[in-house]
Amino acid sequence: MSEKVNQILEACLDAIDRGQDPEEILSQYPQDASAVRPLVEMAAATTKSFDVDIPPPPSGLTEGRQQLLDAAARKQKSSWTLNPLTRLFGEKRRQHMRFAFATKLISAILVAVVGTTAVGGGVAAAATNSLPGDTLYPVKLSIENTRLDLASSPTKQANLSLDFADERVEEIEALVEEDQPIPESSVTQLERHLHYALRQAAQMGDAELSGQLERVRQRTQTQIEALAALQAGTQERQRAQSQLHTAQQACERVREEAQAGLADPQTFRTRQQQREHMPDNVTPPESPENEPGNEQNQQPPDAPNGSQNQNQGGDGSGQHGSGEPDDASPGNQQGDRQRDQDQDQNQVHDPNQNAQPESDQQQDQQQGQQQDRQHQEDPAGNQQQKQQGESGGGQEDNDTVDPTPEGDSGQKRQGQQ
Amino acid sequence: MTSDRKLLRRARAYDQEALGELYDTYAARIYGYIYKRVQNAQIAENLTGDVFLRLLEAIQDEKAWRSSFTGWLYRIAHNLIVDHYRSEPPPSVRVDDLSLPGDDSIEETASDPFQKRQVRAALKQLTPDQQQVLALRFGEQMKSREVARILQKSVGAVEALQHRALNSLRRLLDEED
Repeated sequence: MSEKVNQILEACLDAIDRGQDPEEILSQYPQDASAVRPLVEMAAATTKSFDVDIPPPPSGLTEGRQQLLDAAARKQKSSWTLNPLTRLFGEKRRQHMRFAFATKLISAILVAVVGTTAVGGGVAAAATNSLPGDTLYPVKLSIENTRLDLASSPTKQANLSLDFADERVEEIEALVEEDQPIPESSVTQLERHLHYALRQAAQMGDAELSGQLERVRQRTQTQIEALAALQAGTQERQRAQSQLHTAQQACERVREEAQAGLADPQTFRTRQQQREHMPDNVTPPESPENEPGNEQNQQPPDAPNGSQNQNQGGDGSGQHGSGEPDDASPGNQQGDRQRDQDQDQNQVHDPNQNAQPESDQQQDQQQGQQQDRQHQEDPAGNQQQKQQGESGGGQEDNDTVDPTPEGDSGQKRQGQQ
Repeated sequence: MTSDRKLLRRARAYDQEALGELYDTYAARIYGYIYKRVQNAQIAENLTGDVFLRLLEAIQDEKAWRSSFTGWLYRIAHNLIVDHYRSEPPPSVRVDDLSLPGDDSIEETASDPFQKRQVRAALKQLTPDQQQVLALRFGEQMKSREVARILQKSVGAVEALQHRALNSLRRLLDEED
């Protein structure tokens, strides 16, 4: 009843906005008109009450502007000590940090110290602002993974994953603004973050599930709108259009899945469980294109066949950049190229891989990447490591960055060991 | 939206030009919004300045503004208004004390069942959430969907809040009679 009243009220308010008489709408709902009419009248009175002459601000808003700029200058000055580090690592692209262990090490240190030192915070901030192709971008992704690994409940993991999906969209926006190509891996990562959020939602109880799915629905809706707006502005750039369209479709699929989950939670859970056992639940990534910072001439000398080097990672998969000891594992040297490629692209960004105890991932482990994988992306593995004495600083950070109101249900992902 | 994001990226590095541009783009709108709520130009201007100072403090947390920068500004403004009223509660005025014509024209007074000042006084008796929904919906002329985005609620929740707020307002004003 109340919902219907709200709908009629909205229709009446829309009619008023269009300059029409709301009585025309009310006449279509004679049974509800008496309930809605007072609300319409009250809405009209409220609108009028806000219709006041706004006097000019006493200082013309200049004082507030100056205050803002002064405060910004003070903040900039206080962060001066960070600049050398920022210069060293950030801002300028085209320079690869080629050793993945360095990326991991830096991110782990940053996560540990970010809340305690200005320098750690500064580098972390610089990494957070980086884009695919930036030197610090792999650090950013690694920080994300570390945060995800440290998240203590499906809710926190799902929310973080949604945040990271937003981040991918924002990066895509920034790349479009800068006329940079959109890496395919950005789109793939976006989709994987969203699917991961869905999968974590499937582990929640009914009450929590509906809130989480609503969150997914809203967030994907915002992402769809952002991607659609970008497409409208890139009509002359066919390649970008295509990538944006793919990204938008991915978001739409997830939004529809969330909507379906809201309507039928049990079937949603079943579907998500089935997905977990599929070899790959999203479109397999294609070969990495040349991305900012991932140009052919920057391919490391030991790249297999020198082309489509899946290990390079200007988009962040460079955490496993060639030249790094663990990248020269038998897995990469002997394995199926496509599988390796998929794996490597997903390695940094795809928390879902953890929920895939079979097939590709298992084979990859047999090929000697288990240790690296656990460290990089397997929360279960990391959880184990954590229990074995990983620093508490990271956990502290996790609590800081993800203040999800929901309590820790104690559930953990069913990660592989 | 897109250009805002670009500005925001720069603003996060405390780029003065970007911050200045953001201020110039949004300050007047936020001032208007706050003025409609507090009805005092000096307070509205001070609070507008505070909105942007708070923006500066929180800009590193991009989770806060990522989905809607404008929405974030409105949320900050709303919180500051609530804080302001907490520290300086408005004089308690009974709605029926405002039955004399104030800024309502004679024609309006004659034709409308409620006067602006009465409605404004009644508005201040609503919950902060209800006030905010009505201020955005009818003061800023936003659609429910926009309000939902700003408040980070579902459209249904916003419409339900609006429904309750209008009913409460009606009740408050009817009590006067």
